[in-house]
Amino acid sequence: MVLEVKQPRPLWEILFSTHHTDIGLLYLITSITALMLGGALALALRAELFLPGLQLFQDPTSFNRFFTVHGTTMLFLWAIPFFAGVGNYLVPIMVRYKDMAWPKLNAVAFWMIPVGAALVWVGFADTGWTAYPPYSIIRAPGPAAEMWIFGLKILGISSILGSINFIVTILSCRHPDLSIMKISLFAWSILAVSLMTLVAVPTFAASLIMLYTDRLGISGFFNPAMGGDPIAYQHLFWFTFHPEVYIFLLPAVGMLYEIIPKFSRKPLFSYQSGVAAFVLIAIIGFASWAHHMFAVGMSFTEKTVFMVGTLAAVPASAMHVFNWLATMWGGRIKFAVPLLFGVGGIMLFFASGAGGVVNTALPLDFITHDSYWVVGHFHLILMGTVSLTFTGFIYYLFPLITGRMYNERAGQIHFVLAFVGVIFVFITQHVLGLYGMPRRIVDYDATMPGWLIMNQIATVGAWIAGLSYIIMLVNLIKSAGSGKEADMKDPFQIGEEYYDYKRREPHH
Amino acid sequence: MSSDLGQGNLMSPRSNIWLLLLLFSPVNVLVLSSFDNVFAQEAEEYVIRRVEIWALFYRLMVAAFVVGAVVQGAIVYICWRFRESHKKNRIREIEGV
Amino acid sequence: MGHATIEWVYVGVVVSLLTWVGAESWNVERLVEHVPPEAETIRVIAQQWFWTFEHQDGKKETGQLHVKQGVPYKFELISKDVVHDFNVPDYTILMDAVPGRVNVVWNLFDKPGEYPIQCREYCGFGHATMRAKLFVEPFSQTAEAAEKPAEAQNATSAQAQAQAPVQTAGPPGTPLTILEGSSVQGSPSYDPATLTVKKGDKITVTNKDTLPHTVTSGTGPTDPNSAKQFDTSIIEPGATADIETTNINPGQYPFHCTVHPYMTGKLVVQ
Repeated sequence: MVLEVKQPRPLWEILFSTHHTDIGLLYLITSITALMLGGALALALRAELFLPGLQLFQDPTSFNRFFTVHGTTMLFLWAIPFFAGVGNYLVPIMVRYKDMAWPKLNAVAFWMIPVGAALVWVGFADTGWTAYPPYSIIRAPGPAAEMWIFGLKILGISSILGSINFIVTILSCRHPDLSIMKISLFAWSILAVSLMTLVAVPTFAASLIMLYTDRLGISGFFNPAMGGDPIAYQHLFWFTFHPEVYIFLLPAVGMLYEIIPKFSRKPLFSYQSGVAAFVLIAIIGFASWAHHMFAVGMSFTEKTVFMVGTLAAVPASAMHVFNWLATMWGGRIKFAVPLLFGVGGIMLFFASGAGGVVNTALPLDFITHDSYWVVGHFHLILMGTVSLTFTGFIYYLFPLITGRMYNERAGQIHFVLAFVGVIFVFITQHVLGLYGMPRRIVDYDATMPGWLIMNQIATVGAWIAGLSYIIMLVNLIKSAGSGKEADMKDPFQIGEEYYDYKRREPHH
Repeated sequence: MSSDLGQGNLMSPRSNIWLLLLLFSPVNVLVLSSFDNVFAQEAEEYVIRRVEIWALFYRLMVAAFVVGAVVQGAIVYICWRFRESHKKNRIREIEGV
Repeated sequence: MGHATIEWVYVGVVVSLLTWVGAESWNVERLVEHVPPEAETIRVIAQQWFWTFEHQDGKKETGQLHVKQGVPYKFELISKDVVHDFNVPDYTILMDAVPGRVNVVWNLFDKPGEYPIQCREYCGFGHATMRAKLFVEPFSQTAEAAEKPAEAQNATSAQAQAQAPVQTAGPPGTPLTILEGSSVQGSPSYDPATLTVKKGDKITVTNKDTLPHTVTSGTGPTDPNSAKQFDTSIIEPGATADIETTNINPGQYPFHCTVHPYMTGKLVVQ
């Protein structure tokens, strides 16, 4: 394994290990691979939309398959495994326990991911990552749709098992000297998302089974021809996946709580308000799911309830931003690559949050729903905030994991390109949505004012962002093998003991 | 919001809640006064949804851009003022603080 | 807890702003949701991948919708297969058409002109091209338009009806059959797939499928020459339509179904 340069260990030893650092490493490698593959799909989609008509794709179905697998990959194979990997690496160290609570369960949870990933990628379904019935029941071609269902089923079980492991590790295996109000905020964020996963995911797991029996024709839960209701699926789906948005977000928030005080050389502004905001959002996050469904014909009362629920989740996020900025205020900030990504993430966090408020402001949904505004909005949170922060954390953990430093200059170039690219793509897509372009279309009418030029700007932006991630990949691989040795006490030259935690060698 | 303040001394004269009430009472008056419209404008004249919705959109955009300017400005200012290469930060370094 | 005050003030500002946003939105939503009782009903039928509109007076349109300026319309949306979304971006009309449900959205068109109608909910293969045109007829012409086009349309439909018996009575043209199940991608669609006729021959297209189809020249809806040579427009299930080849020069012409663009065939005129 390239990352274990100091003492080369045979590959099989890492693959069959149950030690949390090995499994964490496997998670990280898997998720970065998924990021690259999913990104390649996205670049293909953007390339197709550079011009109207069909160029790259022979028929719309392959385009539909590409965006389905792109979404599924980025959410379930990049975002979730990445924070699970970082959690695996750091949580046991942070709670001062020798390993995760159940190391073998941990390995099982990880090894379910490649299986689920294989099902999704070999099947290449065209249902959209939401798989709304009745399309996914009566029209989506099999066996791709079945493989997607089972792939997601396996990924869901994997994330439930991982969550149980995290919860038990944090709550029961914590060092007796360490009270729950003393563990780091990153551990808190993992605790919060693990609890949310346990509540949220089983609903979707159940609806996947219902979807499958509906496809077999032995039940008709969501099939109106058999007396079912497609909207029921949407409720079940979003009851899982709106909280899931916070599940993607909170680990990034926790990572920012690691990065920002360190590079500002200042203690955190308020630990308590960070914890309070985590707990608040973990609860309120469940009160807003149907804001994805304002257009399905809900009553005015329902819409009002879910608008209020959505708006109620905003102050908690705003508290985090306040906390970060107050921490940076009066500090002596070193703009190393991890902090660059962190600050970039915070800047885009406001934009995506404001866009989210617009989406939920009831009548404005008539403008934004299922348009490119929505595409721009959720990519701004997932790519702009979550992925940029995750990327910063890759750089942050790099010396800890490999014992070597990445190339600082290449990292800075990566940040600038990624940040500019993200703004080009996703801010443009917001405007494109206001001009009425629907999402998930392979071809568009070039005579619509502004559509052509904005699509081209977005495509160029996507290429810039794609290029930046290639730079990262080269940088990481090269530096892992031949980078300069990191000063393990203070790799970023902050001038103080850097990591609160020591590098841990896997036991055998 | 106010119930979150908690801490037992909510109603004591030194509690923050009085400050908050003072600060936000004008906002709340504005909010409540806008509800009148709802019941005044029934049926009589047709509402043109395009106009109403875009007007709301522009109102919210004005608010969003003002708040956005403040937030992004604060971020940029903090990054500029408290970077380690800033003059005042360098002096602190020399003094050995 | 000195630093807590500023944080509470900050949270207070955020909450106030959000309250304002919520109240404003609630207000506007209430205004636009109230359907005027005298609104004219238009039934919008969505199916893969085209729109049909049924007016209150029973007039039916496919792929285009004619409305009058200044008249409130109530749209009742239904779907025959999967979830679609009826969207007129210029008038911020947006509502899902969900099978098994009737959703309602209303609007008053205040500016005459031609506007795009599109589907905004992913519905499969033809989602991108599931479009229609909205024509808002100006108010001043409304009175005339109410009589004239109606007459004209009656006239054409009367002609069509008059012609129809003649066709069936007269010798039917070279048969072209749209097979049952052709709407499913990958199954055989046109029979024969390559049809050879002499210039001047009549072709009689029979739709034996359970869904509407067309026979339209061109390789697909994105072909710039689509429908230049011939176009039957929508043929309802069980119905027939004729293609005259008198004005078509000898040569090979690919054709397709505008509703299901993967249904393709070829016409050879000798």
